[in-house]
Amino acid sequence: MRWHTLSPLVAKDLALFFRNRFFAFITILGLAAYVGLYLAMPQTVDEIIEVGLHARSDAEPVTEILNAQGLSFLSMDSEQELRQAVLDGVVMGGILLPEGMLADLAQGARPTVAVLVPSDTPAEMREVMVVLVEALALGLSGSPLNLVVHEETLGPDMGGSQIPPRDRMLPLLAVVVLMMETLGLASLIAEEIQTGTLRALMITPLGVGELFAAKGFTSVTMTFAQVSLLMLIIGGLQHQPLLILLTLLLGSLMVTGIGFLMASWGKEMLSVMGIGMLVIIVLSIPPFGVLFPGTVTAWARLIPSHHLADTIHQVANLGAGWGQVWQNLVILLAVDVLLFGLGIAVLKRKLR
Amino acid sequence: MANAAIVADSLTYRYGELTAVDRISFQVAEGEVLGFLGPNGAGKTTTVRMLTGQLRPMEGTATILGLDVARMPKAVQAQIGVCFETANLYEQMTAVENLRLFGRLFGVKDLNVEALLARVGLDGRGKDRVAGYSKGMRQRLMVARALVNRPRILFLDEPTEGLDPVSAEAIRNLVLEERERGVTVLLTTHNMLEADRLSDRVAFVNQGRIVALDTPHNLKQQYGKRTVKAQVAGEQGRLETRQVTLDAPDTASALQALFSQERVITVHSEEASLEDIFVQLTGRRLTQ
Repeated sequence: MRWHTLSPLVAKDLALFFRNRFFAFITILGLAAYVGLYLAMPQTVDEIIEVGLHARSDAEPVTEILNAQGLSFLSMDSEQELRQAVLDGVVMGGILLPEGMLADLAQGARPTVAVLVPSDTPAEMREVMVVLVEALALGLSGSPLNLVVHEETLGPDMGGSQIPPRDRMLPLLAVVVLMMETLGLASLIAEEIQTGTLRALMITPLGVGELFAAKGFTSVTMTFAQVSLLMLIIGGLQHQPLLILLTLLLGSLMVTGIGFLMASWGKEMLSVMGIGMLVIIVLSIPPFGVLFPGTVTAWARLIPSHHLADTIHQVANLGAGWGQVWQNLVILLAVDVLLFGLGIAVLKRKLR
Repeated sequence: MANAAIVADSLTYRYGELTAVDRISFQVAEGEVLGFLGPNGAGKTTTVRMLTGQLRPMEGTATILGLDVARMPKAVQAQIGVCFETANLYEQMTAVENLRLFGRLFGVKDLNVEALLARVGLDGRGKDRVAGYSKGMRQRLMVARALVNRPRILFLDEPTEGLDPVSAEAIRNLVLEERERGVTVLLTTHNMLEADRLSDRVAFVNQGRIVALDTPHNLKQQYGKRTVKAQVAGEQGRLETRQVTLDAPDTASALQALFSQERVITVHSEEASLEDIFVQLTGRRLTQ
């Protein structure tokens, strides 16, 4: 590998990247937009789940009993008001107590309690609401629950200090920034294949290995610099900066391999962008799972970006160290080697 | 051939079922210009790609300056200059940047970009981006790029195709200058006049094979017919054309009859063109 051969190629690629107004624009504007998006996301998490309550009668005694037991509901004056609050999302759900409920409970009858939930409430949440009503009924009947609940928190107790959405978004931002930069470089390679400039390069003493080394160096440097700068600005490097930077470097290698593949599949900028958008969507699934826990099933672990997103989340948001994430890093490195090798093999074939 | 710069020995290449190059063999001496003539799809470009290390021959060998191209492509490529059929320049870079990039890749330390641009008539335009160049300017820059490493062998693939007369002439003069410097040139073209003017020898390529290889003069001697074409005043003063073939047994009497029996207005001697010979040998035209 000869540096005097690599350096003009790297300089050429950087010049071409920034002379493409579109990519130059989205690189600079993108950085500002990602920072803006991060800042626009909530900084805190509201841990209170508000539930509305309307008792057709006995409203005062019911509220007193519940308050005495430490349960607080948003009391509604009418059934209509409760229904509207549920529909408007003011409360997560509503509980409608029937008339004469306290008396019925005292006589051992089984009054019917209506639980109101919005149509998009997950099944798990509906079950929680039903359990809540059952607990409520026990409280109102004066019968204490005949068991002691012992709570044990596994891992760091995040109660009262939940991860804000903006920090949950760090892995997603990292993946998107890495991929956006890679799109530009993949487009340049595709264009070089299409216009035949790569053929012209290959008729010089430049070896195929040197060509890919130069392309890889440019891509990794650009993506790594961009994503590291973003992380620095939004505070993603506050905890274990070296570990985060290493993860981002491995992420840069991963997307460069993917970039090589995209460049060989696409013919010019538009087709590379089209393919790239699909790839971004797929790669964004694991970080979406971090942003919205419970929305992504286990198969998302098979997506190459999972180990990148998970490591950033573990380290930046949960305070994990080398010991907790080393397996992720090893897998990420293996994915890099695989994608890089595959990308180079496919591109080499296309060059022939 | 004693000092063969290019040796092609039974070169063969197939694209699937199609045999693009079918056991082509020829040699080009150092300092010689060989015109490679043939219509589109004849196998010219594929042959050049094998000779320049862009394609690996499926059969046969290519030797450049004594080096086996398939085994040492990079050593070969360091000593050759290639001008492609279609412009493949970095459009968002200037001419100077394009030439400097390739100069550095070839390891040329004393590259005089301005002098090189002046040779192809692009002096003063070096700092303009190639995207703003005309087709002729791009092609001239392509030729300049092929010269950055002062190659011992030049491969020019249709270098004047579709160019304006000024640009085409500039490139032709450059080929002649390079020949004067002792550079070997393989000129791929289907422009027979260009081949006739620039080439020491020409090879006719058709359907992946060389059907004739000799100097233009010898080919004309061997396959062409010299004629005298005369315009005579016909009935009611209309011009009519008469043609007398030279080198025929009755040439003398036919010429005598022409001048004694007709009122000759103009007389021109003509020899066969390379195009005529190509058609005669292959039944196809070069521009097909």
